[in-house]
Parts: sequence; structure tokens; C-alpha cells
Amino acid sequence: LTDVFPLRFRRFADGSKGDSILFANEVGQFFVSGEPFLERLVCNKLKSSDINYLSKRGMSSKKEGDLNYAAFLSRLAARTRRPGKLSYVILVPTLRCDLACSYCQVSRVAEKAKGFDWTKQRTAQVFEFLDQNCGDNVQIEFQGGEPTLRCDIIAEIMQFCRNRFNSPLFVICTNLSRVSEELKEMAAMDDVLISTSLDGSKVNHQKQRTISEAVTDAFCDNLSAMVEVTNGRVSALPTLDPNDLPDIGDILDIYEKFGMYSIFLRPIFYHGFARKRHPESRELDQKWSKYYKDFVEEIMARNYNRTEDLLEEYYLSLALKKLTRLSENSHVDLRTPNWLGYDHLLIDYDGQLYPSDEARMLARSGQIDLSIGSLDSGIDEEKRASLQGREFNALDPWCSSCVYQSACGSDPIDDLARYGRADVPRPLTAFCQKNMSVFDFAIELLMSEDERVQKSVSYWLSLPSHFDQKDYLL
Amino acid sequence: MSSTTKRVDTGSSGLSEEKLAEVIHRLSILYPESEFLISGETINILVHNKESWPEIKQATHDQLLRTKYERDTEGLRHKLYTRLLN
Repeated sequence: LTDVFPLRFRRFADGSKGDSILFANEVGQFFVSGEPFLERLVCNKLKSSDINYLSKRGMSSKKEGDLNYAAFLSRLAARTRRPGKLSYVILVPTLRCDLACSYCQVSRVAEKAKGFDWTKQRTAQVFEFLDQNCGDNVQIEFQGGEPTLRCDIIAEIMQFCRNRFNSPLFVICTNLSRVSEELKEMAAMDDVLISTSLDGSKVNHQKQRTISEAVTDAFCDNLSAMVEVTNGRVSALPTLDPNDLPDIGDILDIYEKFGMYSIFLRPIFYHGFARKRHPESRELDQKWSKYYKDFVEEIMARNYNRTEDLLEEYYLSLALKKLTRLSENSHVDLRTPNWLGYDHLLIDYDGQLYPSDEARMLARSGQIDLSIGSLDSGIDEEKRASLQGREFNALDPWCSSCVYQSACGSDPIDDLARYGRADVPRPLTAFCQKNMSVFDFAIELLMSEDERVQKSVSYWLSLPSHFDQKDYLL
Repeated sequence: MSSTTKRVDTGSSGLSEEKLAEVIHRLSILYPESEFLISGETINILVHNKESWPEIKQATHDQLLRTKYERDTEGLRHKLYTRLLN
């Protein structure tokens, strides 16, 4: 008697693929078959060739405790293990910012405002908190406001972390409107990455962020300088308005010009001040979906004849990795359980602790207070644990039936921001719709026999050459 | 736009009333513009947009298969998680 570890299924959206159906189990092993297999599976009438295929791939077991059984449990355990220490901490040393972008997703106040920076006492509390709660490979992200308005605090934190932890990494998120010598010195260190925003073309960036030509030119000069100083350790995110999308070629051109080949394409987020000014961003529309696919098509076309400097869309690459690498579980928005507040946490300018940046924005916009304590009172264990109720998608009645459950994640904070509640049926949420679309697209690319597609997919998955899809066919 | 009532026989699925209600609940969320009712072993579906019928028909078929399969594998899944958490 053989037990097949429970499978989920999804028909290919593209009718041209015939009756192809994707099957996957709870640890993310997947394959493609057809209607006859589905009928045999549901009616418990699998053929010996079906069983052989599944057994060889560790997707079934002959008895409890055999090798396949143990391996399956081990994979499940690896993904669900509760983290011991914080591995990612976002610090907000100041809420002040020198720009006022219309859709700024981070809450901010005017540059000259008083009382929105960490005091000496607060900074000392942060040292103590990091010392007690972080692991040796902690990654520290400086957010704002514009954190580089307080380079002195950033430098202090870096020095403390380098002394206290084995391999800390630092990310400075900055609008690059100004770059001081102090910032350049910090950015030159090998353990520092710079993250900024570059909204497609120069024209689009100016319209959405920098407003004046002088500020836009300064930004471009500063970006060039930082790319040089950091030896390329600069990443940028384009935030795009689905109702006013820039030319795809323009975006790729400007990113390539600055030596940035990984682009995380994002529509305007529905958080913080963005929520009030762009109500249309509430629902993802088909326009965005088409633009996204066209963008990837253009990337693949550019990659086809290249041997270096290949481009990628970051989120699609991540989806491909999540589908094909059982151990891939690093991205905070796409993992399950999502241990927010346990391995990932934010310390705000006023010492409040939040499970994520989005949770901070919900508090700032007055929607809901999702803080999980403060530097003064410590972590509120009860509040932190209460957030975990919807963080494990395997327990959700919709996700537990979904073929992408193990590759996907859970984002109740996004649901709260959009719908004011976290129990909306998953298929109705923007999070689910977006990820279903991306995973469907990723599977379509994985199963494509087009050489042009295979070249890019292989590169994104760090495979030496194009791989054989036959292994995924039953 | 004219409405039409379609019928799907659930007899071969062997699902209980409770499980069929679950199927109906899911379909109602996925296709709020249509109405789903159980009558014995038949699901009556009031379709307001005829063009959407092929998709709804397929989805109904799939929900029946999915629910039956999940019912049959519930014990194994429970056993795996019990083993994992203990």
C-alpha cells in the first residue's frame, strides 16, 4: 500500500496547452500531467507507473517512517521551524525627509521638523535591543524618512554591529538627493549596500519624485557616484503608476546605464500616504499584468544574445526559485509561516516596535496599531503571537487547496491595509491575485520550449544551461 | 443579458451534504454573479452570463474533485502534521 503525499492541482490557464494540469504537494515538489492522472488520483486508482514516478521523486511512501516519509517531514519541518533570533531589523533613526513624494509609502515629516529623530538615550536603547535579540548574520536596514539626514547615528550603529556580530550586513535606503562625504565613506565598505528608488525614465522619476530638473540631475549624478563608490552595490526599485506606465525600453535603458540589472517592478503600493492620494491603487488591474509580462518579454529579448550583464525582474526570479528550490525561503513577503516580529522587526523613530514596515505605515495612517511593543517596555509577546494566526498559509482553507501554497506566502498586513480585515477569502485579495498571476507566468516560462525563454530562465535559476522539462512531466 | 439554469450531478463524487455545502460556498465566492443551490445530488447553477458557463462548469467539476480528494487525504495530512509538531 502506497500513500501519495497530498497533492493540489491547477489547470493551465492557457488553453493551447491542452489538458495539462499542474500538481504540487505541500513541500513544493511539482509535476505536470493530464486529466486521466487527476481522475486516477482522486479515485485512488493510480497505475504502477504513476506510483513509480512519484516514489522516485520522494512524493509517496510505502510505510510510515520510510526514507521518503522522513524526507518529506524534514522538508516540511525546515520550512516551518520558528527562528531563534532576529535576522533582519529595520531602523528608522529619523522620520524627517527632504522630499515629499506624492505616494511616499514611508511616513515622513518635513526636514526641519523637531522631535522626530532618535535621541542619544534612544540610540543607546537600540544598541541594547540589538545586542540581546539579533543573530550573528543580522541584516540592518536604515529607513526613514531619509536616514542619511542622520549619518552620525548610522555610523554609530554600524560600528556597534561590527564589534558585536560576526557578519552583519547593512542596507541604507536613501533618495540620493544629497550625498555627503560621510555617506560615501560608509557606502564604500564591503558590508554596505545602497538601496534607492528610480522610477523608470528620468522624466517619470522627476514627475513622481524629484519635481524639479535640478533635483533630478543631482539625483542622477549622486546615483552614478554611489555606483562607483560601492563598486556596483546599489539597487533601485521603480514604483510605477499603473495608470501612467512609462515606456519599457526607457526603464531598462536607464537601469542598464547605471549598471543595475535586477529590477523589482512594483505598482504603487496601497500603504501610508499613498492610500489617500491614489485610491485607484486598491486593485491590481489587467493593465499592470500585461505591462509586467511585456516587461519580462523585453528582458528576455535583450538577454538572448548576451553572455554577461543579463537582466532579471526580481520578483519573477524569486517566484521561479520558490517553485524549484525547496530550501528557498528568504523573502519576507513570500514565505510561510511568515515569522514577522520573530526574525524580522522594525524600530521606529519613537522607539515603537513593528513586525514590518507596512505595519508601521498602517499605524501612522491611523488604520490600526500593529505595534508589538517598544524599546521602553520590550516585545509584547501576546501581541506578537496574535499576529501569527494568519501567517501560516497551510492553515488557510483556500491556500491549503492551492497548488502554489508552499511557494507562496501570507501577508495579512497587506490585507488589513486594503480591506480593513485579515480574513478576506484569499482569492479575493490583491496579494493572492498578484501571486497567482506571477506563479502561473513562472510555470509557463519553466515549461516553455522556446530557447529565448530557456536562456533567461536558466540564468535566473543559476543553471549551467537550459534544463530538461521532461523531468516535470508525468 | 439572459439567465439560464444549469445542472451538475454530484452523485459520483460521494460527498456528504456538509461537503457539498463547502463546494457551493467556494463557488459562490469565486463566481458571485452566479447563484448556486443544492437539490439532492444536483447543483443548480443560475448563470447570468452564458459565456461564463464553460469556466463555471469546469470550476464546479474541479471543486468536487478537490473536495473529495481532500476528504480522502485529510487523515494522512493530519498524521503528517501531528508527527511534525510532536
